[in-house]
Amino acid sequence: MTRIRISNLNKVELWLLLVVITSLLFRAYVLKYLYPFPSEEILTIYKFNLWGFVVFGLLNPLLILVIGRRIFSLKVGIIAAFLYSISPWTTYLDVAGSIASLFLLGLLVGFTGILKFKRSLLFRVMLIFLGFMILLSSSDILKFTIFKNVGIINTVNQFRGEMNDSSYALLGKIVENRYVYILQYFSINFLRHFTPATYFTPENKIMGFSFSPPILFGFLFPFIIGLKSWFSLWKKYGLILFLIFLLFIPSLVSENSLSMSRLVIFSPVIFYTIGFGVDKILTTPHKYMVLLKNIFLVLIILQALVVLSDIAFREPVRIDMLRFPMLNR
Amino acid sequence: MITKKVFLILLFLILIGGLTRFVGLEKNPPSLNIDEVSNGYDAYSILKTDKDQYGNFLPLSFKSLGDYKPPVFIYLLVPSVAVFGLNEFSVRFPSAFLGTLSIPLFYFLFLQISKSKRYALISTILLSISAWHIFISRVGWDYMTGLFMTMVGIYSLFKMKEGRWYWALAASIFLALSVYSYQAPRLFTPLFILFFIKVYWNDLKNRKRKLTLFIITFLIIIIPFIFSFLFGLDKTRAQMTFITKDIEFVRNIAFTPLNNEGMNRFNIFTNGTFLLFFYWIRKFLAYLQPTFLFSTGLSLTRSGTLGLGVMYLFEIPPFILGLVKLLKDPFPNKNLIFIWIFLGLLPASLTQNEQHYGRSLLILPMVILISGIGVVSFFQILNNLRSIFRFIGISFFSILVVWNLLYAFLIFSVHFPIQREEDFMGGTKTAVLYVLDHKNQYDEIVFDPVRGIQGPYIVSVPDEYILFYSNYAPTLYQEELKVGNKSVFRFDKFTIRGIDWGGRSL
Repeated sequence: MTRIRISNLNKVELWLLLVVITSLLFRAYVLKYLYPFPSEEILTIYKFNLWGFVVFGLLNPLLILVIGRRIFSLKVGIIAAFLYSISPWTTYLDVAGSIASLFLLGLLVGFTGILKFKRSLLFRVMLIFLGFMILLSSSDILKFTIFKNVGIINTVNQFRGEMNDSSYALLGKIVENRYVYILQYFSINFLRHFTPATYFTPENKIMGFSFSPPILFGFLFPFIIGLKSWFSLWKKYGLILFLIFLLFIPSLVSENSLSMSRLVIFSPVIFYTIGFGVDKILTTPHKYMVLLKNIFLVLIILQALVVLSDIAFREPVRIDMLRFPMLNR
Repeated sequence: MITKKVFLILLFLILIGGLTRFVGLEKNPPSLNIDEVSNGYDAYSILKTDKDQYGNFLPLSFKSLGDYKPPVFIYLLVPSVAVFGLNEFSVRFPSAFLGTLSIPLFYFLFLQISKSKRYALISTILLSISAWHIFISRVGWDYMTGLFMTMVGIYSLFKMKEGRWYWALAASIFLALSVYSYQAPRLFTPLFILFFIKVYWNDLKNRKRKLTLFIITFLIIIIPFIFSFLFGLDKTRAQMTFITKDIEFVRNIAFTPLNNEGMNRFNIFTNGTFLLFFYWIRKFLAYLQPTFLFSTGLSLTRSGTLGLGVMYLFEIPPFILGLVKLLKDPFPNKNLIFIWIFLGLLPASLTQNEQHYGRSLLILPMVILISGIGVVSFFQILNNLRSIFRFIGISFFSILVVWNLLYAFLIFSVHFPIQREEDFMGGTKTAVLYVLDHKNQYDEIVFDPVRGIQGPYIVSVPDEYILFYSNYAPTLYQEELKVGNKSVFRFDKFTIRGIDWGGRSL
C-alpha cells in the first residue's frame, strides 16, 4: 500500500489540501463558539452540528475548485474555493447545516456531472442523478413564500385605506393598487441582489444575528475588476450567465426577500468573479494596480482578524441576547 | 450666452419648479417641526432685538434647541419674517425660493461639468421635478441653503479656471458661506477644494494669483468658524450625531459596555475601533442601496412600508445607463463626478442612524446629472431600434414616468401628511392656539412635552411653539427669569413639565 506523503502531491492536490484544511479549520472555529448553544433553541431549520460543517465544508469548496478549473482556470478555481472556505456567509450556513448549503451541494454535484470531464458516461449520469436527488431533498428553498410577508399586505391595506378616505380615491385606484405595490417591492428587492452592500457588508445579517460580512470588504475591488472579465466571456458563456440569474429567484421570492440563506446558492458566482479579479490584479504590474492591491490586502487581513475576534467574543453574546428570534430565511 | 430656446425652456422649468415648491407651502409638510419653529423664532428675535432667543448678539452659531445651528439660514429668514410675518410661509419661504432659483443655477453648473446643452437641459428637467429637491425646498431647514451656497461656490470655482478674478472672490465667499450654512459642507467643502485643485492643477497653475486670492479669502472668512469649532460649541451637533453614537453600533455590534469586561485578549481587534471602521464602510455603501435611492429614502412614509426614494423609480434604467456610460466612455470631468459623490456621502456616512436624505443632499446634483446622462443614452439606444420597438420603448417609458409622478403626488399629498404628521408635531399648533385664546382664564398653564402615540420617544418643545405662535416679545423672553432645570421649564404663565396622568395612556 502506497503511503501518501505531502512531498508526493502535485500542485493541484496541494492547493486542494490547503483549501480543505482552511475550510474545516474555520468552520471548526465558528462551531467552537456557537456550539455551546443548544440546537433545540433554534428553529428546526438550523441545527449546529457536525455533519453540516464536515460535509459542506469539505465537498462544496472541492467542487467549486473542480468546476472552476474545468471552466475557467486552475487559479480562478483555487481562489473561488479558498473564498468559499473563508467566507463567514458560507461558513455560518454550513456550520448550521443549512438546507441552502445542501441545495448548493446538489447544484455543484449536478453541474459537475454536466461538464464534459474525461470520465465514463455512467459516472457522469450518476453524478447528475445524485445532484438531482440532493436538489429534490432540499427543494424547500424554492418555495414561493413572498406572499406570506405580512408587511406587504399591511402596507397595501394601510395605503388603500388612506387613499379611500382622501379626495383622490379614484386616482388612487389607478395609480396605487396591490399589483403596483408588489411590482415595486419586487423591483427594489431584485436590485438589492446587485448592490455591493449586500455581499461585502453585514447589511443583511447572516442567519438573522451575525454581523460578520458575507465576504470580506477588501474583495470588493477584485470583484469589480472581475465583473469586466464576465463581459468579455459573454459570447463563450452567455447561456451559463443567463442561467446564473435564475439562482437569484429563491432569494427573491422568499418571505423576507432578500434572504442571505437562499442567496448562498449564488455565492460561487461571486467567488469566481473575485477569482477573475484577483488573477487580473496579480498579472497586471501597473503601479496603481499594485498600490490598490496592497491597500485592499491590508484591509482583508485587518478585517479577517476583526471577524475572528468578533466571532470569538461578540457573536455568542449576540446569539444569547437574541435567542434567534428571527431567522433570515 | 444662452439661446432663446434654452431661455424659454428654463423659464418654463422655473415656473413648474416654482409651482411644485410654493403651492400649499404652509400646509404641506403638515405642520412646522421643532427645528422650523425654533429657526423662525430666532429670526424673529434677531429682527426685533439683534439678538437670538437666548440674548446672544448676532451669533455665528445659534444655540437653538441645544444643537448650535449654522447661522446663514436663520439670517436669511429675517427678511422673510419681516415681510410675511412670523408664520409657516415665512419660515419655509427662503428654502422654496432658493430651491426654485436652483433650477437655472443647476443648468449652468451641469453645462459647466458636462459641456453639453443636451445633458444639462435633461438633467435640469429632472431637477425641477425631483421629489428629493422639492421636499427639501418645502421645509424650513438649513439643507437647501447649504446646497445652494455650495453649488454657487462650485460653479464659481469652475468659472475661476477660465474667467476673471471676481469668480475667485465669488467662489471663496460662497464656499465659505456653505460652511456656515449646514453641517455636511463643513467636511465636504474643504476636501472638495483640495481635490478640485489636484484634478485641475494644470489649469490652475497658470492662474496662481487668482488661486491665491481664492484661498486667502476663503481662509479669512472661515477663521471664525474654525475658532468656534475648536474652542466653542460649534462642534456640538457633529458630536451629537457622530457615528460612535449610533444605537445599532453601540448596542448590537460593539457592545460598548462589554468592552470593559475582559474582552481584551486580542486587544486592538476587540476594542471596537476597527469594528467602527468597517461599520462606517457599511454605512457608506448603504447609501447606494436601491431601497434608499428608489424606494423609501425620503422617509415620507412609515419605515418598513413603501414610499418615495431620493430618485424616482423611472430613473432606475437611466441611472444605470448613465453610470455605464460614465464608466465606459470618455466624459468631461468624470473623475470629479465620482469624487463629488464620494465626498458628498462622507459626512452622511459618518453620522448615526439610517441613511438620511438631508445629510446626503450634496450628492443630489451628481446623481441627477448621471440620470440625465442616462436619459440621453436611453433615447440614443431607442433611436437605433426599429420604429415599432422605438414606439414601444418610448410609450412604456412615458407611461412609467407619468405613473411615477402621479404616485409621488399621492405620497406627498395623501400618505405623507397622515403617516408623518406626528414627526412634524402635528396638533401642537392647534393646542397652542387654544391655550393662547384661553390664557387669561388661568394662572398657570402646564404643557406635558411627552406627546403622541410614539411618545416619549418624540422630543417635543412646546415652549418654542408658544413663543412662535404668540409672537412672544423677544425682549421680554430674553430678560425673563426662566425657572427650570432639565425636567421643568417656566416662563410667563407656562410651565413645561411631565404630568402624572394617573396611569392613563396618552
